[in-house]
Amino acid sequence: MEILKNPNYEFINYRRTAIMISLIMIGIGILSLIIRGGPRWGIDFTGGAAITFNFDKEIGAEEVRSALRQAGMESYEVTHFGDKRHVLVRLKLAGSDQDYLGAIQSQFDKMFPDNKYIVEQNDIVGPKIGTELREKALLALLFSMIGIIIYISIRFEAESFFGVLVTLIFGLLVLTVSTTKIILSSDIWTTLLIVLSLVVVGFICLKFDFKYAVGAIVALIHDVMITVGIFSILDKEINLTIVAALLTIVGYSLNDTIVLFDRIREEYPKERKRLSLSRIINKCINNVLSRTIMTGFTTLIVIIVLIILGGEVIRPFAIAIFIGIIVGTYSSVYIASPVLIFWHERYGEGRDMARKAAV
Amino acid sequence: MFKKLKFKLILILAILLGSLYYLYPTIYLNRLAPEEKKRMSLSDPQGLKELEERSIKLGLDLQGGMHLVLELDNSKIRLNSDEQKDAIDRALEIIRTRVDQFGVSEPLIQKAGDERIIIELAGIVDTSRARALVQQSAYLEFKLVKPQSEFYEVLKLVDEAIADNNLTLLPEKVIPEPAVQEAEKVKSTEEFNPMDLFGEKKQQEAGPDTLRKAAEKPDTVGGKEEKSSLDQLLSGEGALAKGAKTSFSGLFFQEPSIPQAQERRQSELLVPINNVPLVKEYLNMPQVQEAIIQAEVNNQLDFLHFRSPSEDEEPDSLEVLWGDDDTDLIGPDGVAFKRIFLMKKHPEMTGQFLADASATLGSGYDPKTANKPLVLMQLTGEGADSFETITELYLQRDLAIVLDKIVKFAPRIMSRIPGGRAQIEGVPSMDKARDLAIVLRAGALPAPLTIAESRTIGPSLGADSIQRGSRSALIGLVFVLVFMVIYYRFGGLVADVALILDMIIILAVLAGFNATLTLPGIAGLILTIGMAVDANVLIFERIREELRLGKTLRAAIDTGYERAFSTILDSNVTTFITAVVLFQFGTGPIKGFAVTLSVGLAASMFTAIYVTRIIFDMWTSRKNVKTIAL
Repeated sequence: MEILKNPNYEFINYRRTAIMISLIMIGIGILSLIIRGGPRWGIDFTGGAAITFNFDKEIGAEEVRSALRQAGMESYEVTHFGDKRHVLVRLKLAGSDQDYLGAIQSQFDKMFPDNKYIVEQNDIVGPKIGTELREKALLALLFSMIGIIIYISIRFEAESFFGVLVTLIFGLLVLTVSTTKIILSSDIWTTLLIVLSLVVVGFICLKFDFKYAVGAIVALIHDVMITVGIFSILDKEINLTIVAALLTIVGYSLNDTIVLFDRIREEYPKERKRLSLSRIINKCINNVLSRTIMTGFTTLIVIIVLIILGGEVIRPFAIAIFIGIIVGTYSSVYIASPVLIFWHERYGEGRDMARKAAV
Repeated sequence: MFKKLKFKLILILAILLGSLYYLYPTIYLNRLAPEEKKRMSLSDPQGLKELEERSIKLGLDLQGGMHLVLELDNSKIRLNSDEQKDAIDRALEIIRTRVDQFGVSEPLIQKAGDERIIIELAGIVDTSRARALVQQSAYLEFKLVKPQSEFYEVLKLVDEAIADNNLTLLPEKVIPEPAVQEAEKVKSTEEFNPMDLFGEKKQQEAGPDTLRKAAEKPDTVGGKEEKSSLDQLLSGEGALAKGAKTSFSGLFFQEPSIPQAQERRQSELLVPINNVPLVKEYLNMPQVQEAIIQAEVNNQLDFLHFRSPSEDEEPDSLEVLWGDDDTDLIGPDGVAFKRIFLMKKHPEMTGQFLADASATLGSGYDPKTANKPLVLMQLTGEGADSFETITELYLQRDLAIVLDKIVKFAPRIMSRIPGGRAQIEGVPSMDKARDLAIVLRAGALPAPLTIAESRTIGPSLGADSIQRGSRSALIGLVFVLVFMVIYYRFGGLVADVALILDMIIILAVLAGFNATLTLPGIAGLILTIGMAVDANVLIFERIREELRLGKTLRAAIDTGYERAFSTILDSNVTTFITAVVLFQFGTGPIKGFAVTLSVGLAASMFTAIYVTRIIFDMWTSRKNVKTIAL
């Protein structure tokens, strides 16, 4: 069976609309973040306790809240986890090392004597560990960013040997700096480092005409921002597992982008006399369309199965990956390629052609 | 060309068989019902342990269990870095001993840096026990060990108690009469020498250094031959040797009556490792404990006291305690023995009378101590007086140093020790000396231990996660398999074969490297299913393209694989980079994800490029296959 024999759809001409949509989505995401005061950090990053109770019979959230109040808990959140028998209690840690669970359990035993429960999960993260996990997450983001940038530059911009060398050196520099105490001990410095690195990478790309690298990186940033935005809109928690999902999305999206870029690099020298870059890219998109749909489809099937059947614990992770796959596939066509075209016409060889056309 | 093909095919089959071999323990273990497992843990614990070691390890989030990170609470007292290190070492020692009592198989206890201890206990979910583990202060006691002859008598009493109350476990297990065997040398792993307790003045030499023990005859308990009776046990039958009798005492390795052996090691008994779970089961029984406490034995001299016993304590009572794991002895055929002691329950002295302890190298010219590791003990004023009386009274007897109910060391009192300064000789290594010094000082930590992080998953949630995870994986796999055939027909079939081989290889690698499978790890596996297909898709789409351009089948296949290869490599490398980063910075479950993802990528690359190619080559080299349904 073959659905698409020699497809020839129009993609590129719709890129301005697509970019609009993307910007609107990112905008909504940012708005949501602002309204909610940042992402909903899980206890991995803020410290605190998260306890899941599995009751025999259904129990209302309000009943649980009053029980917590009576047990002397001050800052807490109660939600249902899956169904009305599972209750997730989140607490801020008041002092160190109190026996929260014990206090809560005796209160439950008192107030709900005929509704037995078991403690299914009990996570307590002290403040020190919370800070460390935050650092680890940021470092992980940084390291993968640098790793990917170096790899892309080697892979796609190998003609500019000097450029690759500069990227390599800069990357290693950032990595070494990032593991020093100053950066590690402060969120602000780490974020600053990340932003700074991106800016410098931007300059490198400018200087050495790393058009492919720019396209890929912008697509990646777009993917992460949209996913985080959606999570904020849906008010979903961001913990370590979700950060892991984000990194995986980055890897997957890059996959997709590379497949397309590989094709473009193959076709460009052959067709540049005949067609403009836009047309070449459109042709390539059509060429790989079969593969894109197929792979996206199979990966989506398995993830959807995981979302439906995988259970509450892994569901947020699976949802993140699901969003990421869709957005990642979209971004190769409608973010990475337009950036490529834009760059080409502004800074690269296309400058002259565009000027000629305009004249 | 055909020969080459045959060779490659054999290689693939070899890999397949190898993988199945690695997976066999996991499958076998999974199919054991819980009661069978419990039986095996009593009758053949070594065998069970081996099966578990060669199976896929399940992470805590799938097994249920606790993960704890402990650190010293520095808020009230400032500790410099040396004190910090020392305190953590001491805490580690205490924790190790205590965790032993939880009875967890293979608990993970390790230092993380200089300031933290990480503990992982599978199957334990009681947070209050965990707190007790951490917050109780350590209990150091010095107890008098009873001689072997008395131990034998107590064993007989226990035998009677068991028989009287009909409490025999595994009645079909055969345990022959204890007999005096030939003497043979038993080498310890580190030349573990018996230790002696000396005062400032050295006394005369003790007996020979090497331990002489009888070796067990092959058909007795503890030998490797017992493994074959496992099958009999599992099927409920039992082999009966002539004149054999089941008994508690038969589980112990009996000491031959050789004067030299008796002189050196006259107090402890040994239990072959395989028998330890059974012995522990028996010792847990209230009737057995009663029999031990009430045992009437000779030697009234033992029951002078230097502290008044508490109200409810029977002054004359006895107890049975185990030696620490690292004092296990290894026999000539690799069978390990655990030490077990009978002792007076009431301690001669407790840790509060110990002022200081340190490890050092002996100086001077005495061959026994020069340049050998020693442990120096310094007692408090009050302790020194009691200790002088104790050492005078119990000369040539063993004094066990017990931490949290485990016998850490049991040196022999060689001289009367006045003044409260004692040295322990015969310590096998400097490391052991340092450990002993830590144990002696373990009594009090300068700052309390707190729980910095604790993650507990209930076993029901863990089992639930495994079930859901595997079901999703299976269903997802089926969907993909079917879909590939529908869309790529023959090629899809080939890709399916590769995918299944893929999954087997991934699981086998996990089992072979003893890697841990976590819930995100299962998700990684599922993701791999989706992504493994990508390589095949890339190849097939290229082949289709080439065919459309009019190339011959062979040529199309060749070009397809060639062109697709670099793209496959690229996309896998990028995902691999993220996996490496996740492994480096991630916590336990995420590490599991990174591992399955990486292994999955590697395996799928192998199967997609190598295996499918071979299948295609084989197919097209038959007679006149001009086209394939693709």
